[in-house]
Amino acid sequence: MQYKANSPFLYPMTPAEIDKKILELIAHPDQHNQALKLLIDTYQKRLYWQIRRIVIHHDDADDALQNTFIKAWQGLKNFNQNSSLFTWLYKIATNEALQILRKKAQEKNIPYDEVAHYLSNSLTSDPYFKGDEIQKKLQQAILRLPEKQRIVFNMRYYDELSYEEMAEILDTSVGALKASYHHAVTKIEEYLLNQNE
Amino acid sequence: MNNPHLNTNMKDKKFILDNPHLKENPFNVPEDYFDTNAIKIIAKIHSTSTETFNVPEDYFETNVLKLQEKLLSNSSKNVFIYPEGYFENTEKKLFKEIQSLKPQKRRIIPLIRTIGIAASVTLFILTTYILLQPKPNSHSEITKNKDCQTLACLTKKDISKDIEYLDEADIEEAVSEQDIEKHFNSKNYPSPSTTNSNIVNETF
Repeated sequence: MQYKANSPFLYPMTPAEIDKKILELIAHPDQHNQALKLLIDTYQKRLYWQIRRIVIHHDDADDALQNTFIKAWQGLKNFNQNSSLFTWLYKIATNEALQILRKKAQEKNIPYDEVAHYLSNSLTSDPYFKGDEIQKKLQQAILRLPEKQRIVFNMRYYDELSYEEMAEILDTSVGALKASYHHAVTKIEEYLLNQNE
Repeated sequence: MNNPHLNTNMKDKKFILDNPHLKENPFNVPEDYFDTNAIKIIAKIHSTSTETFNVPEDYFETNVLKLQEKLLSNSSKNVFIYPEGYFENTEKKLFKEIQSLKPQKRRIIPLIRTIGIAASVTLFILTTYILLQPKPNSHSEITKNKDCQTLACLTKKDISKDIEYLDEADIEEAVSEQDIEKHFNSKNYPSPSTTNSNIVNETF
């Protein structure tokens, strides 16, 4: 958690204040490292979990997270302050995660549509998966969803993002996102019930 | 396979995803991953810098001035020369010339005048045509069209031509008594008394 440095009372900075601070630091070349550290400390966990839920394996998530920060840093000077820094980073992270999946499809020489199936099967072999049977079933149900529904479900169910934030990140309408989430939930519920029978 | 977490409160399809256990993060990360990640990423960003070759600070900004200086110092090598102060005065000269140019007046022929001339010519041609048309004999036209069968419809020519064949009875028949009386009572006709006296005077 970040605290205001110049204040006599230490109180946490709001996300908007942190964003402002990062952008201020970037304006001074001698403070770039400080800006980069603040950026990574603030956002790495949220971005990591968003990526991890898409790519499933830690090593892939690690690669995608690094790429996300590299790309963000390269583009930060031209960052359009109309949106929040988090929304912008979230968008980059989602794209990087999907890019990793495409690379994986190429590496394994399988069609892109079958990557999710591959990940579903390899879930148990991942040393960094600690979930029990039903949590594994839920992950498998999520992996059976089409790409867009999978991303929307993760954002809403785990990260609890608002539809407005999601619309900004995914460049889609709120209505379309609500429909996607509804379809995703229905499919997952059916899958879990069938598995439990 | 029955799962205890599902069996407790998730028999109903609607409540499956409300189970807090399902919302728990099933993924793990290596120990100290997030603590060491910042250093790792910063190092990677520095190592993957897109600019492999660096230039001194303000190199491109100062380079233009340096080049200008160099060019000026080597100006004697230029084989083409120009009058002193040429470029300084060219702008003013051109500006003056442009200002001195008066805008050319364009001849504007109004449309109404053209139409007026055309209408006048047409009217003149039409009038000439009408006037030059041979005049039809209005009287003969009337006589041709009218079928009155009286002396009134005859032309002087007809009368002078045919009068010798008419006798007194024919004339009396052709002209009504009323018309004769009217003719003699009109102002243009002299009174019978004066006429008679004149006749007498002429006789005697």
